[in-house]
Amino acid sequence: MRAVDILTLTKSGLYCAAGDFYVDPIRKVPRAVITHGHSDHARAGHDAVLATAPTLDVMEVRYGPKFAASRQTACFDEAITLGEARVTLKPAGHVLGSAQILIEVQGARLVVSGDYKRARDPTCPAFEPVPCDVFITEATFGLPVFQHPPAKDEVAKLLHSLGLFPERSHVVGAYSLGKAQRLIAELREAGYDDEIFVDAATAKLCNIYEAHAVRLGHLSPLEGKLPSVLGGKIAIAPPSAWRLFADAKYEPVTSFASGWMRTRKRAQQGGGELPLIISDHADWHELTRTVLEVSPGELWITHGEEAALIHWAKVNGIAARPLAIKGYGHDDVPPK
Amino acid sequence: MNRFAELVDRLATASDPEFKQRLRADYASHVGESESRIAQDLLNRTLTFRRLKLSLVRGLADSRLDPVLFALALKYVGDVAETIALLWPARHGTNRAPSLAEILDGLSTLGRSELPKRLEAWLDACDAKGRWTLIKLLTGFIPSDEAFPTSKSEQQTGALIPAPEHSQPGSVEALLMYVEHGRSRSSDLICTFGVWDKEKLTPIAKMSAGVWREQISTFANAHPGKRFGPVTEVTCTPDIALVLEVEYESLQPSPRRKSGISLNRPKLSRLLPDRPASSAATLLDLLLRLPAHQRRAK
Ligand SMILES: [Zn+2]
Ligand SMILES: [Zn+2]
Repeated sequence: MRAVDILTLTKSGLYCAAGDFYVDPIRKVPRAVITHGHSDHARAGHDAVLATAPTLDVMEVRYGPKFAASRQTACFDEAITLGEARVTLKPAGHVLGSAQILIEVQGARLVVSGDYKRARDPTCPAFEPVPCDVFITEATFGLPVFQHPPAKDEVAKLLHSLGLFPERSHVVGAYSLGKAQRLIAELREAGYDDEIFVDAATAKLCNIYEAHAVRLGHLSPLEGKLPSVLGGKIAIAPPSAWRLFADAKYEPVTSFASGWMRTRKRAQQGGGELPLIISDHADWHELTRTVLEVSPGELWITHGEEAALIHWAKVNGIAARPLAIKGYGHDDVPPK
Repeated sequence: MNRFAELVDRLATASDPEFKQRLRADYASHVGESESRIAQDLLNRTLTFRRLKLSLVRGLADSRLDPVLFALALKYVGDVAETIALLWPARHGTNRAPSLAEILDGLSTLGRSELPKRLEAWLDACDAKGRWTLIKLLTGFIPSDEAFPTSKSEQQTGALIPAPEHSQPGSVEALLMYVEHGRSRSSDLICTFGVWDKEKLTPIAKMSAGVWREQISTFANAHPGKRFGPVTEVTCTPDIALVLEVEYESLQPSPRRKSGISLNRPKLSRLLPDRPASSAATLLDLLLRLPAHQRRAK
């Protein structure tokens, strides 16, 4: 068995014939292994789903208890036999529960990274490089222009602004799974212990984090709050909820937290008054560093800005090819 | 530079003039008076850093970056200056980001051939925002069109960073450098005052102590330095120094003087005995009060 034959790209996504399962399929399939709970990777309606416990919890909150006919919980590092394949989930450092999928068939090893990052995140275990023959990576930020600053520096900007404008609420647009909780946890680490207001969708996902022992401190529901209560407070809510602040006596400081805020055009389009570069995806240096650490015989790229990464791989003597899977990459997108 | 770049960005997105003013005041409180005056001049466009063609900066970038990656990045970003700013490889262990004053100094003292090398060092030390703003300033683009409205209400509240009043009356905090007993009237005391030029003092004005004679004389007698005939040097260390406010009717470039600048009708307006030596103005502060075209007198 050659590692390149472990997975094939089909209309439904990456398929493993040896184990008869799909990884993050984009259509309903009999058996799916899911890397993490973002909706572009975790879809409802599969017959059987294998994923980490937090990922299954997220799917249930998103899609209801009948999101799949049957489900199986996988722990990190636990080898699970599916047909002739051995499947092991490894931390991906992207959001709570996010996993890379290591698939071994007759000694050949292939890793699907899912979405991942290498920067520190207090809400989930760190990415673990797994040596393999074929490494399938994402490349959301696969251009060297994307170099994310340390999240704590960005959080410091937010807190500095709060000090400068103590009468204004600071409302941060952050993806409700992962980004929001990381931002909260980073604020707590920076010593901010005031209550943080979150919208209902984000609050549900925060509960899952709490249930998995990620402490987020004092959170309050945003809905139904008078703007006057929110003055001088931090709220985390998607831009669609920013209108809740329209009547405030003092205009809120709006902010969007995303890796896309690195470029001026994107920051001007959707960054609000204080764009923050905080990403759940690997930046250019994290991507290239990871490929060097994993040191695969072959590199495949699922989605994102792949041309630069492929060029880089060639220069570094690594065989690389794009898969250009459509349907991935919906998270971390700035508002229009 | 990084702080200035951050200020420019925040001014561009803040809507309320009062909020903008708070951002400026916050900036000034972090960087100090002389630095914020340069910032204000750049924002008001009474000062320009324009010295370079973008092609020169591009050349520096080309020597350091993979051309294929640069082309792909440029296609995505759409702007050469921004692409360079974002791609410029960080050099660890480089110096802190340059201040606006250091850049201004570099621009007025370095020759054409020396500038590219210094620019590389500046770019190494700045963050991406700082690099973008620096490249835009050096190639003659103003940081942002909307960043600096000068509506009436804003000018009224805009006193925290005083706008430079060119050739108009003003005052400067200076240090007592020398005292000398007058010849014609034995009771008079002639004082020389100076401002900081890097780590040294440069004299900027010489005048009678007037009504402050007794207080100045007491200080000078208590903290004497070297004697040069009738002239006595006065101690000036970080803790022991006499800061005074000197008013003037106007400023003008004066190439013959060491300071390069002269104060017309200087007048001692008050003593500031609690101030440390470091609170005195710098020569750059004064030079920046000259109209932009007179500034490189020194
Ligand atoms: Zn994701
Ligand atoms: Zn994704």
